[in-house]
Amino acid sequence: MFAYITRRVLATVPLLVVALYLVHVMVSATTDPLADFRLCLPRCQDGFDQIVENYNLDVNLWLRPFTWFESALGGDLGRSESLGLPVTTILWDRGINTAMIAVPAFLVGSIVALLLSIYSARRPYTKGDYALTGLSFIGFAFPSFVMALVLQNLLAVQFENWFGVKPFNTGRKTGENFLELARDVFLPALTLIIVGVAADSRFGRASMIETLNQDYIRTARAKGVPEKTVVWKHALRNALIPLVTLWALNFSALLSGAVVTESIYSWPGLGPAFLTSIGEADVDLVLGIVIFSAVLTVAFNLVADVLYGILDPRIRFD
Amino acid sequence: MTAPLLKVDHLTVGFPSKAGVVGAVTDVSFEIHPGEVLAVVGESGSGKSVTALAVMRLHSKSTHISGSVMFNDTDLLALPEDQMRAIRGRDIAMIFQDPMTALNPVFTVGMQIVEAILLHHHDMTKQKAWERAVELLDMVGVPEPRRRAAQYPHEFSGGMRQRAMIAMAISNDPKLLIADEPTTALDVTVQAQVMEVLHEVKRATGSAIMLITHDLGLVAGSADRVQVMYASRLFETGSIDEIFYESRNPYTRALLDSIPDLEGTKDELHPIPGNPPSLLRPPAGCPFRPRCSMAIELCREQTPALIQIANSHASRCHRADELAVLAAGAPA
Amino acid sequence: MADTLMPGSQAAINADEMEGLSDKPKSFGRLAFDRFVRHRLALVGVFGLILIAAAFIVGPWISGYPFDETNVRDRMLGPSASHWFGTDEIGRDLFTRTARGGRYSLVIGLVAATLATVFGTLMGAIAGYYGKAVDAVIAQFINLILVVPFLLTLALFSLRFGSTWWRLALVLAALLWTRIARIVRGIVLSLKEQEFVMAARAAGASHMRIVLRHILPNVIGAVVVEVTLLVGTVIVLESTLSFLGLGVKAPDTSLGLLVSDAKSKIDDDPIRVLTPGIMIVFIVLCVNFVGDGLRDALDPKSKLEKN
Ligand SMILES: Nc1ncnc2c1ncn2[C@@H]1O[C@H](COP(=O)(O)OP(=O)(O)OP(=O)(O)O)[C@@H](O)[C@H]1O
Ligand code: SF4
Ligand SMILES: [Mg+2]
Repeated sequence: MFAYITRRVLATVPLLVVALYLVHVMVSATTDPLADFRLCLPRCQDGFDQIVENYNLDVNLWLRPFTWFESALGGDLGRSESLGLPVTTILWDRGINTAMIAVPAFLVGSIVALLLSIYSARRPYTKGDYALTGLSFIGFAFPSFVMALVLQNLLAVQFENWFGVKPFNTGRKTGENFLELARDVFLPALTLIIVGVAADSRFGRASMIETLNQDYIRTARAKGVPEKTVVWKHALRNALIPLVTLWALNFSALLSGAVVTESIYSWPGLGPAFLTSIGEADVDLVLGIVIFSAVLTVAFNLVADVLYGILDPRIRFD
Repeated sequence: MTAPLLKVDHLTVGFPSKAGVVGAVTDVSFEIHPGEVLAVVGESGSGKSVTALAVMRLHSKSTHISGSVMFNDTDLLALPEDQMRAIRGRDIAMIFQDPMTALNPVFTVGMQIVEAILLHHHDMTKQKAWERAVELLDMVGVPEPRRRAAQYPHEFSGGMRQRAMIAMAISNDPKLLIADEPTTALDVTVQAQVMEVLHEVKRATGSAIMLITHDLGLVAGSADRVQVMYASRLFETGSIDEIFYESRNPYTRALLDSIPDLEGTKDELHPIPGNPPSLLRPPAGCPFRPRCSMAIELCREQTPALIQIANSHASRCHRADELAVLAAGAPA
Repeated sequence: MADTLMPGSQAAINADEMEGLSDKPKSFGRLAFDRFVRHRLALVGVFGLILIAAAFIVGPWISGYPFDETNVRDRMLGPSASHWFGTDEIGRDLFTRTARGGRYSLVIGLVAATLATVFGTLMGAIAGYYGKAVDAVIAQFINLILVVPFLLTLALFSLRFGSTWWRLALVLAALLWTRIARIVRGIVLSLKEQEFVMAARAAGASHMRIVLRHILPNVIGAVVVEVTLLVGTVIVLESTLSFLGLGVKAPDTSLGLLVSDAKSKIDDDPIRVLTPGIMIVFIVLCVNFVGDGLRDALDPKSKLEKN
């Protein structure tokens, strides 16, 4: 098992290095941090030189990434010019903010999706199943920016108009105490939950239906196993196997920052930082976030594989 | 004669589909007596499994089922679900065709047997149940049963899995064991071994067996009575001798003709030409008519009824009486 | 000919093709068609798409406003008979603009999904068919695409090369072909070992011919479903990009951009956000209905519960 994990991690390192190199070159090639300064030369020669130095602009485009790799190996991911902070600090602070909505969204979303899948799969092609499937179709068709705007307007502005109270905050993390924080978190998390549940429950339903049609489920019923146990023990354990991979992907994606949702709710997470970094040609921050999300993806895929092995005795790590 | 253990009357099973109801079992009546082995044979799709699953009440809710299934004088079809569940696995147990898929891949074989035991022995401890599971595995011929019990199904070969399935099925000494093609999915050499185990089990427990199979060869050596199904209906029923040597039904005869001879005296095989009719909109008349070499005009117009021939012998054919004069083994 | 199959099967195939009654494919296609037509949601989807495409194409012609004509006197109007969806803050007719954006969504969706499918199918077929090093290289290439966040690539591309609709479609296709490639690769891998392909190879058919003639036709069912679903994905992605200001840019417009323009006024005028937003939802919903219908129609085992 340990050897397997080591091997997997080592296998992704070259891929990551190539990806980072290409991203660095791409960002340098497509953006010009000097754009503003060119106009005011020679008056602002100092600022110009400062930028050249910060971004290593005197180094050839194709060689520039190596300077970055050199310091990155020493644990220094550089400094974000646009936010004026070390990249590691930003990743840490913003990462925590993102996790504040990502963790509840993931937990609630996955559980709700699972429950709905089981509900639907136990009575496929009935009214209840059709209703849920219909809703998930609709939810799945909503781009998250539309969903976020609709929820924000409906549950905050209109809600206040109708009922005269404002139960949720609509933007920016204030968070003095837990209750305030919960009011802040609620709407962005809800957006992610609805969009996620719509996608997951269709997958979960298919997985559960397939499992419930398996021969061993019939065997269990023929033994006299109560229907509850058939579903929650015999079927669920098998249906979870494909879901685990989906969850790993979802969670790592959420933790890397929901760009649209966080931006709409002005949530100071990784998503808006990513947008800023692109807009401002902030190479170091771009690379920092790319590494962050890549490492998360690899890590959670590994977790998924390990869970896979625990759930499914047929899998061997060798 | 003793009272029947299982008495099925006018059982009819239909599956609703978008195009109409698929009549998988039509008006089937039969009995199984304690300790008896009843073989059910017939081509694929003739309704054998559907009959068995109806007895176990394992069809989905949307399935149309009518008739009655009396087990020891209780009508299983009318029983509330929790009482039916208590009967499943305890009084009636079932073995399925494909041992590769019939065991849950994520639980050990031992645990699956233990679960079967504990479901119907609420006061037994888990350790005792485990001991019993090991004993059962030993009884059905699984070598090193203690070690094997802790293994997962994928670590078992096909034949071993089917033995494990049998061990699980007999774990509560059922009065009736339904074996749905227990050997079809296995290698020829393993088939004989598994049948031997089933016989062993029958000798040891005295349970009645409903043996569903394609394989008439298998039937000859192991069954007391045979029941032939075709296109959702019972076509002939009788003792081994009545079916094998005095069959009064062209379909049974064609079926007999299509299997390799037991003694190896037959030089050619004669597969039955054509296919069974649609169960969605069955044609009028005898369902076997398009394939029957003895068909007459009447067969086109009228569906033959099941005609009593002897005490235990009945056949569904307009020409059943004429068939008496034709020597068996040389069907028209 | 170096690449003929065994004479018998070759003759048979040709005869079928000439008379157009190749029995098996036709009956399957027929069956699939019947199943699709019986799928109520799929029909709703097809109908909805035709309806909305017609509205987007014919509508502006009836409404009579160019999409970029400003009219300062008619600013910020609500929906009315002359301006069905109202006007924006410089008096442009919002229906005409929505229709223009909607046309972009549909066109970008179709073009990008088609390109992605063609490329993905080819790459998948090549990877699966040749295996070994070729397969490994393509796999790493796919991993590389997946490890870099899509948004980054899309944004950098649009910064560098601008964002006319066809360029946008091109990048989206360049990012979205991987899933189809993986699916096709899987199918090809399993087909490769099957008899008819072995036979063709034994008879000396060229690689290209085997791929084009024997493997691709078998892959089409799965691919058709994927394309449809991909159209939905592309439309969502495109609108999201435009919403973030990384896609179609002013003075031109798209559904995402219309939502973005309206969002600062959402508290006073939620309808203005909703109209383009609901358009996106409606289009994607219809596309997914069609995809679902196609899946049920083309995958014979999808609804047959076994016993
Ligand atoms: N759940 C179901 N839904 C719809 N049709 C079904 C279902 N189960 C069985 N059938 C149909 O009922 C008919 C009888 O099936 P059954 O499984 O009893 O055949 P069988 O005699 O056991 O054949 P085999 O020897 O292949 O097992 C078949 O035509 C089958 O397609
Ligand atoms: S009734 Fe007629 S068709 Fe049917 S089995 Fe008898 S002879 Fe053949
Ligand atoms: Mg069967």
